[in-house]
Amino acid sequence: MRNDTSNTNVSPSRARHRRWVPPAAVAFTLAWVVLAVAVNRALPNREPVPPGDAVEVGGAVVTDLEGWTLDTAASDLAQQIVLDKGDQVLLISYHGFGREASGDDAWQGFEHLLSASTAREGGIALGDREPLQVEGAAQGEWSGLHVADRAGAAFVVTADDGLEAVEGTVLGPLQSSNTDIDAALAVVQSVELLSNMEVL
Amino acid sequence: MTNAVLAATPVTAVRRPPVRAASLGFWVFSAYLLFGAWTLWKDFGAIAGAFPAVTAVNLLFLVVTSTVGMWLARRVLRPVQAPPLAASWLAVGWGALAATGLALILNSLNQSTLSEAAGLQFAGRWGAALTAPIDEETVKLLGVVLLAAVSSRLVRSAADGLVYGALVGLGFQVAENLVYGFNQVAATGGVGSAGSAFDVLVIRVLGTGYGSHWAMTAVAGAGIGYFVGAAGRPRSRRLLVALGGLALAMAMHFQFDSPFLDGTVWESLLKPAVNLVVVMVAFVLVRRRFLARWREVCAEETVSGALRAGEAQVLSQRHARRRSLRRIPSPARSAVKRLQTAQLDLLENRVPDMEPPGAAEQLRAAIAERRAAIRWA
Repeated sequence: MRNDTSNTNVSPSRARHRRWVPPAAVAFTLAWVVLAVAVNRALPNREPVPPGDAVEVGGAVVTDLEGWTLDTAASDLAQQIVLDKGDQVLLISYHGFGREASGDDAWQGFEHLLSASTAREGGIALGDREPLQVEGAAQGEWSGLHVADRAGAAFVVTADDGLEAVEGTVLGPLQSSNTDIDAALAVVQSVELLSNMEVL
Repeated sequence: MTNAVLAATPVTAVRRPPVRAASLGFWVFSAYLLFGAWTLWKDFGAIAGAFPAVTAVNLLFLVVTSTVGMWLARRVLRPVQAPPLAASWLAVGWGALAATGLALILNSLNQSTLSEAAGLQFAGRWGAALTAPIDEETVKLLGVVLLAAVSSRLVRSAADGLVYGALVGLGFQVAENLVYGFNQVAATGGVGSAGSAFDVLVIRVLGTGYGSHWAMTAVAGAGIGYFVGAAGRPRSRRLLVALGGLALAMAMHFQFDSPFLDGTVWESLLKPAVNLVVVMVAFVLVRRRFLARWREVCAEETVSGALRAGEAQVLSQRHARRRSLRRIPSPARSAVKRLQTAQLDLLENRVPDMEPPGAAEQLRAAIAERRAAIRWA
């Protein structure tokens, strides 16, 4: 006689539970995700930035945002904001390095990060770096950028002390005009790093 | 010294493994694990490949914290005996893969919904405190619920629920550390990310780790264990305890993530300490109840003959069992160990007081059979 010391004598109610709990768990999870998606989609996720308003992202303030719309679903004021205007999407992110970094270090780190985050889209192609005049920062640079079927620019703006930076991209269709990119870079030029302002 | 030899009588009692791949619960559980692993890979695979130093730091912390944490949880949080190793891994795996994967999806959706509904300022300040307790506590607890469906031997009491909850929470905690480590790459713009990830991980492990996810899910898990194990109590009461455990875990999580005391030294000292106190109170209550019932069952089984005088005391403590086995010569040691295992099975089955009456008879017969296999000289 095979004598199981453990599992053969489970009460009928517990055996029933073991049958219905797994499919119920799957149904519960699916229902929850579907509900979360539905509620998320039902709410407006775009908010025009009123003329004259500034948006603070991390330790930086972006001021010249007239005509841009803030993507509230994709933005997080602690780290990054996503804005769009027509078919241009502008991503501005704030980074604290935790140590002093040169403009080159900041650019290389950003390029590395951008390559990794776009790896599934085939990576990036960056043009030559050019200086970008930003009043509220020590150093600004930008270059042309291609990611899959989108084109635009990448930029890095570092603080005087080299401890923080504002970085980001503007991307639109391949046939985007220089005017579109210039409009986005004008926003970047309005960035003020709060640490620089405190020094002033 | 007592001398014992193994008799020629074959032992027919067979003990099934606690985790059985034949159950639907196991396959559903495994599907969730795969889904969670895929989600993590999708979100962090490219960053992990591009920043190998960060990945190495992350993996080092993951291995060390999960190994030490799992040893501590299994050794300290379950009276009498540790939960089965395979089931412990399943619990940690649920937390690290399934719960983390689901939480990444739900947190992202619900955070963005909160931003849309209440504005970015409010969401930035309160988003984590309002979304994570609901999303994360629920998906973590789902692991304990599913473990109870994998095998009826895993979650049989509040004590079981507490330890499996702690293991699920531990898995979640180490995977969340990994996520935070990789998020540091983005936060630092890819500059000096390994050092920065190291700093964050040290704070999360040594600074707040003692009162984080493991503590929250242990409390919620104890509620599920009570619901499953306290079969003699009214269903409404059991449900109330289970929901109460989940609500308490959510409250612990809320205070942990809330902006109260933000930026002060009290934030990292007080918040995890509150959670540690709550889980310790739950642990003491659960342990006391478990051991009281354990002693009752031991006394009854001593009368029934399944246990002999003095055996209850030996069986009730890990080191006493080990010490008693060490005194027995090796040829008979495995037979005595099998006897102890059968006795523990009987006692563990009877503690929740939910098995049909016939079950205990079969377990007692198995003990008698195993005892007969040992001839004492």
